Amino acid sequence: MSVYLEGVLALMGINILMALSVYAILTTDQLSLGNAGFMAIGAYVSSYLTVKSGVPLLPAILVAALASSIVGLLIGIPALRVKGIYLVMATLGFGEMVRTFFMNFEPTGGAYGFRGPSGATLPLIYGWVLVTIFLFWLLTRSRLGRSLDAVRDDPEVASTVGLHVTLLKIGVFGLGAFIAGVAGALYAHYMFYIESNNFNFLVSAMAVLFVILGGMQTFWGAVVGAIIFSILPEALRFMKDWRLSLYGAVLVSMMIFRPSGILTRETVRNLGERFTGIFRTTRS
Amino acid sequence: MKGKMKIFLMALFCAFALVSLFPLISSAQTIAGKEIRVGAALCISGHGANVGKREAIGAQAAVDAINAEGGVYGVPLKLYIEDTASNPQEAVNVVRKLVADHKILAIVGPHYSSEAEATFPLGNHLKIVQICVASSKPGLSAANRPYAFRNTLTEDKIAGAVVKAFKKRYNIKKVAIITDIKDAVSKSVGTGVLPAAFKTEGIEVITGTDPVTFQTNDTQFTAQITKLKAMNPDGVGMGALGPDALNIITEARRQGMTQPFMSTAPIMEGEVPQLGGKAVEGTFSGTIWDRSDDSPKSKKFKAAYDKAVRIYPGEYTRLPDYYAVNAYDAVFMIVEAIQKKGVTNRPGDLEKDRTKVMEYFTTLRDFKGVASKGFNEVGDGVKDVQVYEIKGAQWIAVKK
Amino acid sequence: MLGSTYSLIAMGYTLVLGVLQMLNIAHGDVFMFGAFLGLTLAFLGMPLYWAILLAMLGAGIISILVERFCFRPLRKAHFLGPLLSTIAFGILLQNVATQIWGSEPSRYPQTTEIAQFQLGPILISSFHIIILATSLFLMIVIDQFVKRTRMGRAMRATSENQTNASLLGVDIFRVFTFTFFASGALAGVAGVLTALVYLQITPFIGIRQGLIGMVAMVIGGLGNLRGAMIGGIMIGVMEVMNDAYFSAGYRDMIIFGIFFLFLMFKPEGLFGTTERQS
Repeated sequence: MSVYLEGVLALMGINILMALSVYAILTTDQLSLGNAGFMAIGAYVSSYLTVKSGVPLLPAILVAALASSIVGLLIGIPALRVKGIYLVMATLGFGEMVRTFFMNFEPTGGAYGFRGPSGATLPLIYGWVLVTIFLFWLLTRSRLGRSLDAVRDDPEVASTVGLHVTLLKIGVFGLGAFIAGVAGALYAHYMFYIESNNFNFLVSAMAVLFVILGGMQTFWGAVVGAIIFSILPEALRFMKDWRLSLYGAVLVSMMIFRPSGILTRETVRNLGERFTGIFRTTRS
Repeated sequence: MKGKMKIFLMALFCAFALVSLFPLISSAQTIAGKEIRVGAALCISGHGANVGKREAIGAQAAVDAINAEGGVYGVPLKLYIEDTASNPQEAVNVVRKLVADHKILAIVGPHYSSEAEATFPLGNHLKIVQICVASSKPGLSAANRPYAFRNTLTEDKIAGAVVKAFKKRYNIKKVAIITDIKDAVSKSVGTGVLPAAFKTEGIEVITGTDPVTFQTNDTQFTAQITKLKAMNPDGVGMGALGPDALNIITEARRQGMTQPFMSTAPIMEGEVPQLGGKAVEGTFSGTIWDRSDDSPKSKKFKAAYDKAVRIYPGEYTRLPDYYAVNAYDAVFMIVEAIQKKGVTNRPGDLEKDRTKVMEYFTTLRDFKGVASKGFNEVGDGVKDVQVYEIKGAQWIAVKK
Repeated sequence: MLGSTYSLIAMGYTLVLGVLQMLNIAHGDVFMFGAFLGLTLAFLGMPLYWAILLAMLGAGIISILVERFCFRPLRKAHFLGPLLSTIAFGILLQNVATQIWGSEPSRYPQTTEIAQFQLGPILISSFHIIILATSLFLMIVIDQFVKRTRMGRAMRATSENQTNASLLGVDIFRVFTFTFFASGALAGVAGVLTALVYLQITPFIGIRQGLIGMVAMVIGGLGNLRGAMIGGIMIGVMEVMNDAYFSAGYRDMIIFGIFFLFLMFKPEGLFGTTERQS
């Protein structure tokens, strides 16, 4: 495989995880615009463990993601008090707080950044991607998944039916933070170097855009959105110095022409039927 | 057997002649292929769009100049420029693309330290030389031997020369330091490089280990200047980028400070003399090359640059800066490596050729560039420092 | 500036939020464009007052473009669609500005001599007073406008309930256009004053100024013009205090920490909000 293709796929895998981390929280109708903060925690903790404490990569990723998810749960609690635009701003604030924290935190380099993490190969990254996708696939088929749908569509009814709305809403923050933490750890160990500016507001915003443009109704939307919009900047290279302007314009246009995203629940169902349909016909 | 002996001797002679002539024949075909590919991983968009474009033009100028004189053994150079968007992730993608798709022999770039921090280790994995033309963050090349090179002078070398001249001119006995704590290079200048340089010259640093601080692109410096003024130093050292230095000195004059200011290479960008007016007269800095230099090599560079501007025309790329010179020299260094190390440019030899370039640079100490002499043992640039002072709205070289 | 720029930006944010219940993340980039327009006009030799007016006009128009592309077509989409679209529009504005004016800082070269007064660690110059006075003036103008004019009443009605307002005969689309124009004009003034008086501008200054403006808006109370103004000044003073007594590195942590705490525990801000928590 071309070294270039390898690189594009690696970053795409990390983007898929970030998009899924946003989707996880979105399942309860909470929009987090600060997942770069969770990504940063995963990146810095895992890097510290592998570089300064000699911990092997896989356990380091797990520990880092766990740390991130604990912070996620802690954020999930006060997040219950705020809704809609206020929650969006609060998560934005959180992301910025984490970024400025790491800019000042000397043990992980502060403004000089942190050098040294390595070892994130394509198989490792996509291993995590596949595990996460499988997890979501199971979720859509499970009772928990249906509970989440209920919480999103009508929280009052959900709680009268006995669902722990509070626990679910906090729990998804933990889950989203875990996934973002894994993404951050993989990012650090792929890029060989991290600094606080790698986890700024734009990173959080892009993760959300992947989900919205891909389609918020199913988790496949997040995956497809991340794939398409990771490839787009590379595909637009022929535009030279107008590349990023065009990228912004494409995003705005897509929001206008396909506001419900590329994949809606219907599209997924249709594709799913056609996919299994192929199997049915070949078997008989 | 006289006749047969004769034939045998003739055959032996021919064989001997052929064998001895063979190296001559093969060396005339040392460079294979239709073109020699060099890569440039620079910021064509984003924060560094202006500098990146100028660097690309500098590299293109070198390529044009070399091709005008017949290329390398008759084979022309081709420059592949890819945009890093001032962003480490893109920089990594672009290095990979240049290596895999364009199959270049060496890369000029990237620009920013934050980009290089990610691409240097990658370069070691991919075994490709990168000549960063701007980063001066301490220790970056040293941490990434053997394929990482920076054709820049680290700030400590510049600081030493500037501090000496500053002390001499203004009879400085005690200084205060103000530093950026967000930009890595400025921070290291303000918190590490300058204090050490002052100490070497026996100058007291009033701010000790606690300099006055600000963040890059801050909108006001009132509090910081008030602090500095109260310390009453003989002079002020800055760890700052050009635009911030300009604001700092302007604010200082507004509050009535008359002390002189000094810093290192970064403040030579941002049109400080032109925009600062009377306030910035007498400020000291230093770098490896300035537009006012008119040595024959500089003149040749400037002429080549003017022609190469066509690739990114515009007001902001019209005039070269010292980064463009670094890029220009870098291309010439690559060509010298190709010639001196017998790079074949055959597709099958790509990895060997790239390694040859690396080997050449490792010991290159006496290159005769516009403003480059080669690389030291940790891969940082070897150059002369010129101290400058602001006089008459320009940077004027300070005579030793 | 002691936060006067933040005040103007916050006022623009709060206008749009008040009427449309939505954040315009491209607002900071409209500020940036206003700054560049003013700079370009000043360089062309135009006198200060004209530069400000035309830059206000230009920024207002760009703001209307944001409304047309990011808000109007997305009225039926997910409620956060417009917000995300404005993020993308912001990227577009930044990169177009880079193409036009370059990535390096631009600055109006002349600074005339001005009077100054010292107030503790804060040095106040007459420029500060001018900007402060301008913000105050604009705040009063808009405040009175919303209270007394027909358009103002229409804006208030629309902010209460768009459907009802439209049933009552309000042309809500004209209200949207006007609100965005006014919001952009405020950002434009802030930008021009910034460019002409103090800051060196790059195509990327909108990002941070926009975020801090948002914080000012929250501290003041969403939808509350007076609150936005005072919130901006408070943050400005807080920044200077921080730099005087601590290190500049902590500044953003403190600001965003306060932002977070307000959203959690005092979302109505210091002066109350016109928003309903829906």
